[in-house]
Amino acid sequence: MCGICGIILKDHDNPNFSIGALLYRMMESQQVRAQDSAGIAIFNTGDAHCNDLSYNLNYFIKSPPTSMTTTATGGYELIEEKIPASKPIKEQSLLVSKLSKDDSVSIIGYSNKMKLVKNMGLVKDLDKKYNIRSMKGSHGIGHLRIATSSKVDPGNAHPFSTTVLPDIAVVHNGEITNYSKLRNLLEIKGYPFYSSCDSEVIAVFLADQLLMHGDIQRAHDQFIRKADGPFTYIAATPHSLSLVRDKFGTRKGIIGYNRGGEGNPAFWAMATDLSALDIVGANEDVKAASPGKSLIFTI
Amino acid sequence: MNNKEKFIIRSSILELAESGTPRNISIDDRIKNNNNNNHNEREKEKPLNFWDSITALGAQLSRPPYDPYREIINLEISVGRKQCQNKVVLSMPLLIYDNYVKSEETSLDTLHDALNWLAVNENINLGFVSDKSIKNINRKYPYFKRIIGKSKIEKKDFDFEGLVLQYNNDDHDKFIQFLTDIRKEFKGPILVEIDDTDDRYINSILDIGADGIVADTIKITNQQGKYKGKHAITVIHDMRRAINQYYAGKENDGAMLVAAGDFNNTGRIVKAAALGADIIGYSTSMLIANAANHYENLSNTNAISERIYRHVLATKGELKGVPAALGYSNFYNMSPADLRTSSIEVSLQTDIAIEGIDKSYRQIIEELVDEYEIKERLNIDEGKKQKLVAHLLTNRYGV
Repeated sequence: MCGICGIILKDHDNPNFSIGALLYRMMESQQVRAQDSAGIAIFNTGDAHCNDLSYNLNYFIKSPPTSMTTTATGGYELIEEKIPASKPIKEQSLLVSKLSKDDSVSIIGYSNKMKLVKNMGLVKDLDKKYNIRSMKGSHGIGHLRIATSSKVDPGNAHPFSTTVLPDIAVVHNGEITNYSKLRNLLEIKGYPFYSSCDSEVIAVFLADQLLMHGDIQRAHDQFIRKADGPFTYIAATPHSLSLVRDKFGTRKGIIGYNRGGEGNPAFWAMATDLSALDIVGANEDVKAASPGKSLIFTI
Repeated sequence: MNNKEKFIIRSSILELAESGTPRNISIDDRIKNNNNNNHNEREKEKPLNFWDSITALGAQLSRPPYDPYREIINLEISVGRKQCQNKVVLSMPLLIYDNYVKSEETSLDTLHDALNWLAVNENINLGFVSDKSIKNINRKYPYFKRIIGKSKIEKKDFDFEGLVLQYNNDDHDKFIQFLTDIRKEFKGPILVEIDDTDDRYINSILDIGADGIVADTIKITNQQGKYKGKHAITVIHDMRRAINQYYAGKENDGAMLVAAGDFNNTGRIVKAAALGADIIGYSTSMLIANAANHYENLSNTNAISERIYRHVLATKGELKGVPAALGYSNFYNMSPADLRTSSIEVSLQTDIAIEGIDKSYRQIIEELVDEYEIKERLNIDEGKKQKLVAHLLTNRYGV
């Protein structure tokens, strides 16, 4: 019953256009589906950290009970630790390894051209804390979670990212029933997992495929072939936004187009519910993604 | 029939269901013994059947079972690693394995007919492993020749689709040379029967290009060695772990684990598959052939073949039903995470989570040690902690 959504601008020529506001409205319209946690990832935000040669290692750290942050975040604080690209990979790995052993830390992943925020609670809580409605960028994804198989905490909230490859984010509705098998195969290859949520396996799987072949279409095809269960997911990289459905089409996934005008850019929007497309006026060419296929938009 | 007699029959049926073993003494003697022995001693007599202590975790609400009438549950499996040129595709994860019941000519003929009918009528391709030569030229199913104690096979004798070689424990180097030579000549899948999970064997066997490992669970658990007296599930668990370790840090290219021996029903096939076996060496079909001999006219091979044929069809239906109930569309997507056990011993030997707790016994002990460390404000290094956990696991009755 999770709610997912994504938006990609047809032309990213208006740096002042707030894509976060559109995502917020889409998420709010689907809030009835899920209330446990909310999160977004926006790409090419134009923030300073996007342009220099450094990465952010994003992670949650559990705040002391006395901290003022505990009420809004359930006791977790999102940290973006800047890591210069010049820092040796071994040192980066050591830092990640050290943090992953700390019970009070929950690692999210690396980012460079991506801004990822997530939190427990409703989308309005997320906006209150991170002001997501003001975020700008070329494309983005959003997620509303109702927990079915893993705990409700920020570490299990979507979007999922990885430390395998920077700037990959995934939101997912459904269940990867053979999650355990896929995760085991990826762990054998040496990839780390930081949550107990089945959706994380999508991000790591795609990162692995991209590292091997560099082809997002092929990565999705492989995932559809290997993954079992009912799922629809939206995946984003700095240059693409994809909507993917399982081979039986057991979870919804629809897409629509808004041609823009009056100073607003044209964009494609994708979501679980039609109401999310309606609310942002993406009423043209509305269609469901085909089962077992991926729809990919690139910039 | 009076109430006492009814009770005796009922209790004997329950005992058979529980132990899987028919009573070997008369009912009168059993009652007499029951009166004499105390309860604990009777409990000790019962054979512990680990298979029955394992259950599959049903589909959750968010994980609806596939409709087997609407969806196709895939049972097909390809035997052979990426580099294997002539892979063998089986319709079900079964290799009929005549390891224990040495087939007579009549049995071999009946089995041959049944496998041919399955291939022709139902398009079901089952593999057959035997050290006997299959002379019949009308064979429609893949035949895996089992080689024992040889060090050479002539190319002209390649009348099989796959090979099963028995690892020679006494002369490792000679066996490795044999495997190297045959790998160069034979383009189909080569499986190697091994007795141990020693890295030395598995790594070198897979390095040379063997396509899989066969764990003969009955043989392994009966011979002298670290598995003496252990259960088949432990062997499967350890063999899978050893193969996984072989692939550490690299892409799995499909080396498979064949578990042979202790399998005579669908439940065990499913549990073995979830534990990590890719294919099951199913010797029971041979038993069916033999069992049929007791009831059918020995010369009527058609009737016996038909029994095997029907049994395989029924097994196929059952094998499709279980993954569907677990929320899968592919049989090979099952994993240990789908299993739960009611037995601490099973959890200890296989890391299967305990029912109702959803943690393995090892995890429970590790958490207890962690809690103790925090409570007592100790700072135990990882090595010592592991030793403490190992001690608590092995001495759990004496503490």
